[in-house]
Amino acid sequence: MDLIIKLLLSTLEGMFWSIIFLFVAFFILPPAIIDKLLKRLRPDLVSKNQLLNKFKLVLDYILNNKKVIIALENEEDNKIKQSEFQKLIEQKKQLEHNLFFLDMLKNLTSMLSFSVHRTGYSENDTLEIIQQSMEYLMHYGNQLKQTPGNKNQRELVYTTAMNLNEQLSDIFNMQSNPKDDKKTEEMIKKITLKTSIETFNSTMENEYSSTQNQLNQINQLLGEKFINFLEK
Amino acid sequence: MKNNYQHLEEIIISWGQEKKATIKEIFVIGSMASTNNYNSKKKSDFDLLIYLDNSADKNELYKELSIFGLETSILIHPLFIYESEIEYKQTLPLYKKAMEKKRKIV
Repeated sequence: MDLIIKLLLSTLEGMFWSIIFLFVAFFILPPAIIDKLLKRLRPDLVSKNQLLNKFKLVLDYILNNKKVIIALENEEDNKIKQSEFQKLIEQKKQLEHNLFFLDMLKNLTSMLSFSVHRTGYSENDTLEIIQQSMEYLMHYGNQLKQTPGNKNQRELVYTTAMNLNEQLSDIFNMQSNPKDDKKTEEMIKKITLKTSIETFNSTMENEYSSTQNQLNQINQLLGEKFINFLEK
Repeated sequence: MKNNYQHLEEIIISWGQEKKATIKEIFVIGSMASTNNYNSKKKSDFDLLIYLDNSADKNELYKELSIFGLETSILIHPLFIYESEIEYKQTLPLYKKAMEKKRKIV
């Protein structure tokens, strides 16, 4: 009887340590060895496990903007896949950044365009509002990042805002020295400013739409690549 | 005594309430999201985040807001977002940041 109890206890102890060792091995051993072991014992678990890991990687890329390292068995494939995803994610971030500032710019230039059209308000008030807008225009323009699709966007926006600011300074200088013969010239400059703002406004609308389209394309491409990665 | 920013906010609240069919919500964002800055000596613009019905005509709203700006000598900077875009834009980092400290007024 004692022998049977001893045998049972030894078996239980053996099982206990096996479980502990397996548990520790699961964390210590490289995932490739675990995968190989599991492939022999429970192949159904391996495919589910890999799919879940891949799915987690994709979610980390998309939702958490994490720089995830993709571990594929082939080192070369690994590098290619990694840089491919990283490049697209980087472009996506730049486009999202620009989309916000272009949205701010197009809203501001629309306001500006309508403010310049107004009559019945003091010239100084109108010009003060426009001058304040210029500072913001240049600030937002300066925040734009270079993207493969729009390499000169920042220069274009910043230079146009600078030109508008110069036109505005001209009008201010004329106001400080009002003479009858200057009135016509001042009026011409205001019309020029109005036209420039309207052109700038439509440029901002176009740049915003183009950035939005590029972003849609990159999201589509990323989605396709991730699905491809999950299916393989 | 009300200052210009308080006056402008009141104008915008009644404007937003009148336009309930097109304007869904109005928030003050940026530095003026905190009313403590209303008394600041430094002149600042008045940043608004405005959620619009998908059928809204933005040009009409720009026109009206530009009049309020001229009346109060404050630069109003609206960020209009259509209802259909709200969910998507909330996920983009800079929009998310801009929306973090918003104060609902309508």
